[in-house]
Amino acid sequence: MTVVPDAITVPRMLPWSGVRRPGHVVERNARVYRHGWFIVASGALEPLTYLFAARLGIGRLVGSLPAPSGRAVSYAAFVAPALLAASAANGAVYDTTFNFFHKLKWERTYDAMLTTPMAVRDVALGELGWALLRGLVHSTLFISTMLVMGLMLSWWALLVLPAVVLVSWAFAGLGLAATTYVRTWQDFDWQQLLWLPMFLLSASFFPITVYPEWTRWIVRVTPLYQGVALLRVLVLGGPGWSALLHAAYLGTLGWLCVRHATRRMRRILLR
Amino acid sequence: MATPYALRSFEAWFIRARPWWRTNLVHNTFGPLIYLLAMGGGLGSLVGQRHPEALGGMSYGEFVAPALLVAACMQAGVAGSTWPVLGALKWQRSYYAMVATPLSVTHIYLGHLMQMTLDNAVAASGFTLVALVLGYPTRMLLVLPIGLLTGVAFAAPIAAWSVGRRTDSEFSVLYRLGVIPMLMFSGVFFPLSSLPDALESVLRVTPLWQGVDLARAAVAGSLVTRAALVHFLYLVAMLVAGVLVARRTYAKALLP
Repeated sequence: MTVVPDAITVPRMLPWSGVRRPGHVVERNARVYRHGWFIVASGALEPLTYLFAARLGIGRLVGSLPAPSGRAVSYAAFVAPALLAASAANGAVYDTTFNFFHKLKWERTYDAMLTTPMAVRDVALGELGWALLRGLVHSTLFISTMLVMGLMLSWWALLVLPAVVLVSWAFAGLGLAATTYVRTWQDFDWQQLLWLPMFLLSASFFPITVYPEWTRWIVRVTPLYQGVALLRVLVLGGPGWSALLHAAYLGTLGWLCVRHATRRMRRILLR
Repeated sequence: MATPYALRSFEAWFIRARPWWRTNLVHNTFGPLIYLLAMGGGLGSLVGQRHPEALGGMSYGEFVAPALLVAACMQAGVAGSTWPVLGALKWQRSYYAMVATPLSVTHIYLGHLMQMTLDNAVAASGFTLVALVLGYPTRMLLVLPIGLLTGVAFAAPIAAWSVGRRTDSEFSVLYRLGVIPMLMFSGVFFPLSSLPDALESVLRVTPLWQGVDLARAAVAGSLVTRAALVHFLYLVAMLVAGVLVARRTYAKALLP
């Protein structure tokens, strides 16, 4: 018989049970993905493909565009922070929708977890922590490429990493909360129905000024637009107060969603 | 009169696919339409203001619409021939149920391929209809069969490959290293000529470019050219090769 080392090592070293118990969920997910790390890492390739297409092809047709600070930047520089926000959102959403649903309703992983000292809140926070970690992995390769390509144009860019986590936080919260309402796999069509227009129309690929004034407000209230705008200010420079507003929006949204998701999970799991 | 076996297999796939019609429309009609709106409308307005002459007098929307239809058909073809094929083998095991009947593996495969093409036809017709309503040229109707040919030219060999996979993790790699780079660089969103020469000549041999160039030729009304014939034969050859390989890989996966 092979000797398996005590499976739960890292979280046990954490000082406070409020972090320790969610830590177990993160560790569990990390162990499940142990052999699939290439899948997680290659998720970063997709936005990179878009970035290269913007630089080599579409940029030639469009030329330069205005940054939030008003200065003109290349099309690739304009699109890069938007792709970064989208990739952070995407990485966070993936694990809080399909995989979360699978564990909640099919595999019944959480029912098993709740027979241990874990509470529903620990499960929710654990899944959230894992999603943030995954969003961060997706983003790191992209951020490095942006640095190499010289697309970080402002010193505010030092704050890009925490900003990326904030975007992931908002979307992971949204994913958890929305998935508690999902009944069948077909219901995930709604995710696609909401995500695609948000991804393609949230002023990611062209400035918001192409829209008529009244539609701009619809775009501005979407969470992805807020993420895109936040990263654009940090990467390309612009008014700092607007960055604070976007960050406050994302932070609050994530917090409200997580609270709601925990409540809904309690109803589903502890009926 | 007895129904041909491949059609019976098709009927079975058709019945199984019915609950997913909404998913098909969302992914393969609605998705590409949003692309058309964002690229043809939003990005197109920028291109039109700045470089109106870049596409030889064509608007960016007219440039991108036929290519988007073909690209959507490719994506539907790939999606239909990866997870559903492995699912029928490993998760629902419907291939095993079918192989226990008088159907041969080729019938099972051809029936499945027909159902993928029908799904694709429904989704692509939806896209074309909306594009026509939005005022895109009537010749977009010619692009519909070209898109379906491209879709099945991808689906046939990929299904033959998918049936031999152990896990579905290779499909994500196929997407990230194959489908998405091809989508972004095979002349759908910008002319190939704007790329460096070496890259351009590599991309001219991708199957997506064959479909995209054929579709643009159809809209321009220049289908009777040698280039168009080469594109057409290229796609047909992929389909035939797919069927030939699938006979062997399906037999290997399903028969003792």
